[in-house]
Amino acid sequence: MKKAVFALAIIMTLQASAQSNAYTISMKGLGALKLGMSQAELEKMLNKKLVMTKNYLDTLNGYYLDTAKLTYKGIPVQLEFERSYFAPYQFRMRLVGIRCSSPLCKTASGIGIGTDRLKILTEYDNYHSVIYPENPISLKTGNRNGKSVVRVLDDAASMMNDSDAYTMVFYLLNKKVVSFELKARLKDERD
Amino acid sequence: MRKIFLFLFAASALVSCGSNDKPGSPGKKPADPAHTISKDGIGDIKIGMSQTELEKVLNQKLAMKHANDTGEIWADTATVKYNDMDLSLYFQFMYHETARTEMMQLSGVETSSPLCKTADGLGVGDNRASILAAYEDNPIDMGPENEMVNDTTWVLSKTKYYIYVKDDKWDKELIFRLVNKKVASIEASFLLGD
Repeated sequence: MKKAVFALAIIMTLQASAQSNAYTISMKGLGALKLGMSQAELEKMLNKKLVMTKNYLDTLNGYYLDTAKLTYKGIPVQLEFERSYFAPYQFRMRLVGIRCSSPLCKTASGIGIGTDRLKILTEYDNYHSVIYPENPISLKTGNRNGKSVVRVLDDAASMMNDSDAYTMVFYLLNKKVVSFELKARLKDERD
Repeated sequence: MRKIFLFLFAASALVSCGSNDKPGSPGKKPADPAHTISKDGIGDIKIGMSQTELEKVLNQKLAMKHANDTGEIWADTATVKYNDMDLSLYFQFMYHETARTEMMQLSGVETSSPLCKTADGLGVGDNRASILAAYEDNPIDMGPENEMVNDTTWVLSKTKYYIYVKDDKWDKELIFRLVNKKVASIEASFLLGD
Protein backbone atom coordinates (compact mmCIF):
# COMPACT_ATOMS: atom_id res chain seq x y z
CA MET A 1 0.00 0.00 0.00
CA LYS A 2 2.79 2.37 0.96
CA LYS A 3 4.66 1.60 -2.25
CA ALA A 4 1.52 2.25 -4.31
CA VAL A 5 0.96 5.63 -2.68
CA PHE A 6 4.61 6.52 -3.16
CA ALA A 7 4.47 5.54 -6.85
CA LEU A 8 1.27 7.55 -7.32
CA ALA A 9 2.88 10.59 -5.71
CA ILE A 10 5.85 10.32 -8.11
CA ILE A 11 3.56 9.98 -11.13
CA MET A 12 1.49 13.01 -10.08
CA THR A 13 4.63 15.07 -9.51
CA LEU A 14 5.97 14.17 -12.94
CA GLN A 15 2.64 15.01 -14.55
CA ALA A 16 2.49 18.37 -12.79
CA SER A 17 6.04 19.09 -13.88
CA ALA A 18 5.26 18.19 -17.49
CA GLN A 19 2.16 20.37 -17.37
CA SER A 20 4.08 23.35 -15.98
CA ASN A 21 6.83 22.89 -18.59
CA ALA A 22 4.14 23.14 -21.26
CA TYR A 23 3.62 26.76 -20.24
CA THR A 24 7.24 27.71 -19.61
CA ILE A 25 8.42 30.72 -21.60
CA SER A 26 12.00 31.06 -22.70
CA MET A 27 13.81 33.13 -25.31
CA LYS A 28 13.30 30.27 -27.75
CA GLY A 29 9.66 29.47 -27.28
CA LEU A 30 6.66 28.51 -25.20
CA GLY A 31 6.62 24.93 -23.98
CA ALA A 32 6.92 22.68 -27.04
CA LEU A 33 6.34 25.59 -29.44
CA LYS A 34 9.88 26.44 -30.48
CA LEU A 35 10.82 29.43 -32.61
CA GLY A 36 12.32 28.26 -35.88
CA MET A 37 10.01 25.24 -36.25
CA SER A 38 8.49 24.87 -39.67
CA GLN A 39 4.76 24.93 -40.24
CA ALA A 40 4.90 21.21 -41.14
CA GLU A 41 6.76 20.32 -37.93
CA LEU A 42 4.25 22.26 -35.85
CA GLU A 43 1.24 20.71 -37.56
CA LYS A 44 2.68 17.24 -36.95
CA MET A 45 3.33 17.99 -33.29
CA LEU A 46 -0.07 19.61 -32.71
CA ASN A 47 -1.82 17.04 -34.88
CA LYS A 48 -3.82 19.75 -36.63
CA LYS A 49 -3.67 21.91 -39.73
CA LEU A 50 -2.80 25.53 -39.06
CA VAL A 51 -5.12 28.09 -40.65
CA MET A 52 -3.07 31.05 -41.86
CA THR A 53 -4.77 34.44 -42.11
CA LYS A 54 -3.07 35.63 -45.30
CA ASN A 55 -2.10 33.75 -48.44
CA TYR A 56 1.58 33.03 -48.00
CA LEU A 57 1.63 30.99 -51.20
CA ASP A 58 1.06 34.18 -53.15
CA THR A 59 4.71 34.72 -54.03
CA LEU A 60 3.79 37.43 -56.53
CA ASN A 61 2.28 39.92 -54.10
CA GLY A 62 4.47 39.39 -51.10
CA TYR A 63 3.13 38.14 -47.74
CA TYR A 64 6.45 37.02 -46.40
CA LEU A 65 4.75 37.01 -43.02
CA ASP A 66 1.60 35.24 -41.93
CA THR A 67 -0.19 34.48 -38.67
CA ALA A 68 -2.26 31.68 -37.21
CA LYS A 69 -4.34 31.65 -34.04
CA LEU A 70 -4.89 28.46 -32.11
CA THR A 71 -5.48 26.98 -28.69
CA TYR A 72 -2.37 25.34 -27.30
CA LYS A 73 -2.71 23.28 -24.10
CA GLY A 74 -5.94 25.15 -23.38
CA ILE A 75 -4.55 28.67 -23.86
CA PRO A 76 -5.06 30.98 -26.86
CA VAL A 77 -1.85 31.81 -28.71
CA GLN A 78 -1.03 33.72 -31.87
CA LEU A 79 1.78 32.38 -34.01
CA GLU A 80 3.70 34.43 -36.57
CA PHE A 81 5.41 32.77 -39.51
CA GLU A 82 7.99 34.01 -41.98
CA ARG A 83 8.73 32.66 -45.41
CA SER A 84 12.16 31.00 -45.42
CA TYR A 85 13.83 29.92 -48.65
CA PHE A 86 16.01 26.85 -48.35
CA ALA A 87 16.70 26.46 -52.09
CA PRO A 88 15.99 28.51 -55.25
CA TYR A 89 12.19 28.99 -55.50
CA GLN A 90 11.60 26.61 -52.58
CA PHE A 91 10.46 27.88 -49.22
CA ARG A 92 8.72 26.88 -46.04
CA MET A 93 6.99 28.91 -43.35
CA ARG A 94 8.94 29.04 -40.11
CA LEU A 95 7.75 30.14 -36.69
CA VAL A 96 9.22 33.56 -35.81
CA GLY A 97 6.75 34.85 -33.23
CA ILE A 98 4.54 33.59 -30.40
CA ARG A 99 2.13 35.94 -28.64
CA CYS A 100 0.11 35.06 -25.55
CA SER A 101 -1.54 36.66 -22.52
CA SER A 102 -2.32 33.61 -20.38
CA PRO A 103 -1.41 33.84 -16.68
CA LEU A 104 -0.38 30.17 -16.87
CA CYS A 105 2.68 31.13 -18.91
CA LYS A 106 5.80 32.02 -16.95
CA THR A 107 9.54 31.98 -17.36
CA ALA A 108 11.57 29.47 -15.33
CA SER A 109 12.11 32.21 -12.74
CA GLY A 110 8.41 33.00 -12.48
CA ILE A 111 8.09 36.10 -14.67
CA GLY A 112 4.70 36.25 -16.36
CA ILE A 113 1.40 38.10 -16.45
CA GLY A 114 1.24 40.58 -13.58
CA THR A 115 5.01 40.77 -13.04
CA ASP A 116 6.36 44.19 -12.23
CA ARG A 117 8.67 45.98 -14.68
CA LEU A 118 11.50 46.23 -12.18
CA LYS A 119 11.49 42.47 -11.59
CA ILE A 120 11.95 41.87 -15.32
CA LEU A 121 14.86 44.31 -15.50
CA THR A 122 16.47 42.78 -12.42
CA GLU A 123 16.09 39.24 -13.74
CA TYR A 124 17.62 40.13 -17.12
CA ASP A 125 20.18 42.66 -15.93
CA ASN A 126 22.93 41.04 -18.02
CA TYR A 127 20.92 41.41 -21.23
CA HIS A 128 20.39 44.32 -23.58
CA SER A 129 16.96 45.75 -22.71
CA VAL A 130 14.91 48.48 -24.32
CA ILE A 131 12.03 50.15 -22.52
CA TYR A 132 9.65 52.60 -24.16
CA PRO A 133 6.10 53.86 -23.88
CA GLU A 134 3.86 52.08 -26.38
CA ASN A 135 1.98 55.17 -27.34
CA PRO A 136 2.91 58.83 -27.30
CA ILE A 137 1.40 61.31 -24.88
CA SER A 138 -2.26 62.03 -25.57
CA LEU A 139 -2.73 65.42 -27.22
CA LYS A 140 -6.08 65.74 -25.46
CA THR A 141 -5.18 64.87 -21.89
CA GLY A 142 -1.41 65.28 -21.91
CA ASN A 143 -1.20 61.88 -20.23
CA ARG A 144 0.11 58.56 -21.34
CA ASN A 145 -2.24 55.61 -21.53
CA GLY A 146 -0.04 53.66 -19.13
CA LYS A 147 1.18 51.25 -21.81
CA SER A 148 4.84 50.45 -22.16
CA VAL A 149 7.05 47.77 -23.65
CA VAL A 150 10.16 46.01 -22.35
CA ARG A 151 12.23 44.18 -24.93
CA VAL A 152 14.95 41.81 -23.75
CA LEU A 153 17.44 40.82 -26.44
CA ASP A 154 19.76 37.84 -26.39
CA ASP A 155 23.41 38.33 -27.29
CA ALA A 156 22.91 37.61 -30.98
CA ALA A 157 20.02 40.09 -31.25
CA SER A 158 21.95 42.70 -29.29
CA MET A 159 25.13 42.41 -31.34
CA MET A 160 23.35 41.87 -34.67
CA ASN A 161 25.27 38.63 -35.18
CA ASP A 162 24.73 36.57 -38.25
CA SER A 163 23.05 33.76 -36.32
CA ASP A 164 19.57 33.05 -35.00
CA ALA A 165 18.63 35.87 -32.63
CA TYR A 166 15.86 35.96 -30.03
CA THR A 167 13.93 38.68 -28.24
CA MET A 168 11.38 38.51 -25.43
CA VAL A 169 8.87 41.34 -25.55
CA PHE A 170 6.77 42.17 -22.51
CA TYR A 171 3.76 44.44 -22.93
CA LEU A 172 2.92 46.32 -19.76
CA LEU A 173 0.01 48.34 -18.45
CA ASN A 174 0.85 50.57 -15.50
CA LYS A 175 4.18 48.75 -15.14
CA LYS A 176 2.69 45.24 -14.91
CA VAL A 177 2.92 42.62 -17.65
CA VAL A 178 -0.35 42.05 -19.52
CA SER A 179 0.97 39.99 -22.44
CA PHE A 180 4.23 38.84 -23.96
CA GLU A 181 5.70 37.98 -27.31
CA LEU A 182 8.64 35.80 -28.22
CA LYS A 183 10.36 36.80 -31.46
CA ALA A 184 13.12 35.35 -33.59
CA ARG A 185 15.30 36.70 -36.37
CA LEU A 186 16.38 33.53 -38.13
CA LYS A 187 19.50 32.99 -40.17
CA ASP A 188 18.99 32.50 -43.89
CA GLU A 189 18.73 28.76 -44.53
CA ARG A 190 20.56 29.12 -47.80
CA ASP A 191 23.79 30.22 -46.09
CA MET B 1 15.61 82.16 27.17
CA ARG B 2 16.32 78.46 27.30
CA LYS B 3 12.86 77.71 25.88
CA ILE B 4 13.42 80.17 23.03
CA PHE B 5 16.77 78.53 22.24
CA LEU B 6 15.24 75.03 22.27
CA PHE B 7 12.40 76.20 20.01
CA LEU B 8 14.83 77.75 17.50
CA PHE B 9 16.99 74.62 17.54
CA ALA B 10 13.97 72.35 16.87
CA ALA B 11 12.71 74.66 14.12
CA SER B 12 16.05 74.72 12.29
CA ALA B 13 16.35 70.90 12.55
CA LEU B 14 12.91 70.51 10.94
CA VAL B 15 13.76 72.90 8.12
CA SER B 16 17.08 71.20 7.29
CA CYS B 17 15.41 67.77 7.24
CA GLY B 18 13.04 68.86 4.50
CA SER B 19 15.46 70.75 2.21
CA ASN B 20 17.67 67.81 1.07
CA ASP B 21 14.84 65.54 -0.01
CA LYS B 22 13.48 65.68 -3.53
CA PRO B 23 10.37 63.75 -4.57
CA GLY B 24 11.42 60.54 -6.29
CA SER B 25 15.08 60.85 -5.14
CA PRO B 26 15.11 60.43 -1.37
CA GLY B 27 18.34 61.61 0.15
CA LYS B 28 19.77 62.88 -3.16
CA LYS B 29 21.06 66.41 -3.28
CA PRO B 30 20.87 68.06 -6.72
CA ALA B 31 23.89 70.00 -7.92
CA ASP B 32 23.94 73.75 -8.43
CA PRO B 33 23.16 74.81 -12.03
CA ALA B 34 26.84 75.19 -12.96
CA HIS B 35 27.41 71.50 -12.20
CA THR B 36 24.08 70.11 -13.34
CA ILE B 37 23.98 67.81 -16.34
CA SER B 38 20.91 67.29 -18.47
CA LYS B 39 20.42 65.98 -21.98
CA ASP B 40 21.04 69.57 -23.15
CA GLY B 41 24.51 69.86 -21.62
CA ILE B 42 26.37 70.84 -18.46
CA GLY B 43 25.95 74.31 -16.98
CA ASP B 44 26.39 76.84 -19.80
CA ILE B 45 27.87 74.24 -22.15
CA LYS B 46 25.02 73.28 -24.46
CA ILE B 47 24.80 70.46 -27.00
CA GLY B 48 24.59 71.98 -30.47
CA MET B 49 26.91 74.94 -29.74
CA SER B 50 29.53 75.66 -32.35
CA GLN B 51 33.21 75.49 -31.47
CA THR B 52 33.33 79.30 -31.65
CA GLU B 53 30.38 79.78 -29.30
CA LEU B 54 31.87 77.29 -26.88
CA GLU B 55 35.26 79.00 -26.86
CA LYS B 56 33.45 82.26 -26.02
CA VAL B 57 31.62 80.64 -23.09
CA LEU B 58 34.79 78.98 -21.83
CA ASN B 59 36.91 82.05 -22.58
CA GLN B 60 39.63 79.87 -24.02
CA LYS B 61 40.75 78.39 -27.33
CA LEU B 62 40.02 74.68 -27.55
CA ALA B 63 42.91 72.34 -28.33
CA MET B 64 41.25 69.91 -30.73
CA LYS B 65 42.82 66.47 -30.92
CA HIS B 66 42.83 66.28 -34.74
CA ALA B 67 43.52 69.96 -35.39
CA ASN B 68 46.74 69.18 -37.27
CA ASP B 69 45.48 66.16 -39.20
CA THR B 70 45.40 66.41 -42.97
CA GLY B 71 42.32 65.48 -44.97
CA GLU B 72 38.66 65.88 -44.04
CA ILE B 73 37.86 65.78 -40.35
CA TRP B 74 34.27 64.76 -39.56
CA ALA B 75 34.63 64.42 -35.80
CA ASP B 76 36.97 65.73 -33.16
CA THR B 77 37.42 65.88 -29.38
CA ALA B 78 38.83 68.24 -26.78
CA THR B 79 39.19 68.21 -23.01
CA VAL B 80 38.63 71.22 -20.76
CA LYS B 81 38.40 72.13 -17.13
CA TYR B 82 35.04 73.77 -16.44
CA ASN B 83 33.86 74.77 -12.96
CA ASP B 84 36.44 72.37 -11.42
CA MET B 85 35.19 69.47 -13.56
CA ASP B 86 37.22 67.69 -16.24
CA LEU B 87 35.04 67.48 -19.33
CA SER B 88 35.44 65.62 -22.61
CA LEU B 89 33.89 67.51 -25.51
CA TYR B 90 32.83 65.64 -28.66
CA PHE B 91 32.35 67.51 -31.92
CA GLN B 92 30.84 66.65 -35.26
CA PHE B 93 31.42 68.52 -38.50
CA MET B 94 28.14 70.07 -39.60
CA TYR B 95 26.97 72.12 -42.55
CA HIS B 96 24.57 74.83 -41.39
CA GLU B 97 22.10 75.22 -44.27
CA THR B 98 20.61 78.58 -43.28
CA ALA B 99 23.88 80.29 -42.43
CA ARG B 100 25.62 78.41 -45.29
CA THR B 101 28.64 77.76 -43.13
CA GLU B 102 30.51 74.69 -42.07
CA MET B 103 31.40 74.27 -38.44
CA MET B 104 32.37 71.89 -35.69
CA GLN B 105 29.30 71.44 -33.52
CA LEU B 106 29.24 70.08 -29.99
CA SER B 107 27.53 66.70 -30.20
CA GLY B 108 28.39 65.40 -26.73
CA VAL B 109 29.88 66.36 -23.38
CA GLU B 110 31.01 63.75 -20.87
CA THR B 111 32.43 63.85 -17.37
CA SER B 112 33.55 61.52 -14.58
CA SER B 113 33.57 64.33 -12.03
CA PRO B 114 31.73 63.59 -8.78
CA LEU B 115 30.74 67.29 -8.73
CA CYS B 116 28.45 66.77 -11.69
CA LYS B 117 24.90 65.67 -10.93
CA THR B 118 21.57 65.44 -12.70
CA ALA B 119 18.62 67.52 -11.52
CA ASP B 120 17.59 64.49 -9.45
CA GLY B 121 20.98 64.35 -7.77
CA LEU B 122 22.29 61.31 -9.65
CA GLY B 123 25.99 61.18 -10.33
CA VAL B 124 29.17 59.16 -10.32
CA GLY B 125 28.92 56.26 -7.91
CA ASP B 126 25.17 55.73 -8.21
CA ASN B 127 23.78 52.37 -9.24
CA ARG B 128 21.43 51.15 -11.95
CA ALA B 129 18.40 50.93 -9.66
CA SER B 130 18.67 54.64 -8.79
CA ILE B 131 18.75 55.59 -12.47
CA LEU B 132 15.77 53.39 -13.35
CA ALA B 133 13.79 54.82 -10.44
CA ALA B 134 14.57 58.42 -11.45
CA TYR B 135 13.61 57.87 -15.10
CA GLU B 136 10.82 55.34 -14.82
CA ASP B 137 8.67 57.11 -17.42
CA ASN B 138 11.45 57.65 -19.96
CA PRO B 139 12.41 55.53 -22.94
CA ILE B 140 15.56 53.68 -21.93
CA ASP B 141 18.03 51.54 -23.82
CA MET B 142 20.50 49.66 -21.64
CA GLY B 143 22.82 46.71 -21.60
CA PRO B 144 26.40 45.46 -21.40
CA GLU B 145 28.89 47.30 -23.60
CA ASN B 146 30.37 45.55 -26.61
CA GLU B 147 34.07 44.79 -26.21
CA MET B 148 36.45 43.92 -29.01
CA VAL B 149 38.37 40.72 -28.30
CA ASN B 150 40.24 40.74 -31.61
CA ASP B 151 39.84 42.12 -35.14
CA THR B 152 36.83 39.93 -35.87
CA THR B 153 35.29 39.17 -32.49
CA TRP B 154 33.12 41.25 -30.20
CA VAL B 155 31.72 40.08 -26.88
CA LEU B 156 29.40 41.59 -24.29
CA SER B 157 31.34 43.07 -21.38
CA LYS B 158 31.06 41.56 -17.92
CA THR B 159 31.94 44.85 -16.20
CA LYS B 160 30.92 47.75 -18.43
CA TYR B 161 27.29 48.74 -18.84
CA TYR B 162 25.44 51.61 -20.52
CA ILE B 163 22.07 53.24 -19.90
CA TYR B 164 20.76 55.65 -22.54
CA VAL B 165 17.91 57.80 -21.22
CA LYS B 166 15.78 59.61 -23.79
CA ASP B 167 12.61 61.65 -23.58
CA ASP B 168 9.57 62.30 -25.73
CA LYS B 169 11.39 64.75 -27.98
CA TRP B 170 13.83 62.03 -29.11
CA ASP B 171 16.48 64.65 -29.93
CA LYS B 172 19.15 64.22 -27.26
CA GLU B 173 19.87 61.76 -24.49
CA LEU B 174 21.69 61.24 -21.21
CA ILE B 175 24.14 58.37 -21.22
CA PHE B 176 25.18 56.76 -17.96
CA ARG B 177 28.23 54.53 -18.25
CA LEU B 178 28.68 52.06 -15.43
CA VAL B 179 31.68 50.01 -14.44
CA ASN B 180 31.14 47.21 -11.95
CA LYS B 181 27.55 48.36 -11.44
CA LYS B 182 28.39 51.95 -10.46
CA VAL B 183 28.15 55.07 -12.61
CA ALA B 184 31.62 55.94 -13.86
CA SER B 185 30.69 58.77 -16.22
CA ILE B 186 27.70 60.69 -17.54
CA GLU B 187 27.33 62.13 -21.03
CA ALA B 188 24.81 64.48 -22.65
CA SER B 189 24.58 63.78 -26.36
CA PHE B 190 22.68 64.13 -29.58
CA LEU B 191 20.74 61.01 -30.45
CA LEU B 192 23.15 59.22 -32.73
CA GLY B 193 20.96 56.28 -33.75
CA ASP B 194 22.05 53.87 -31.01
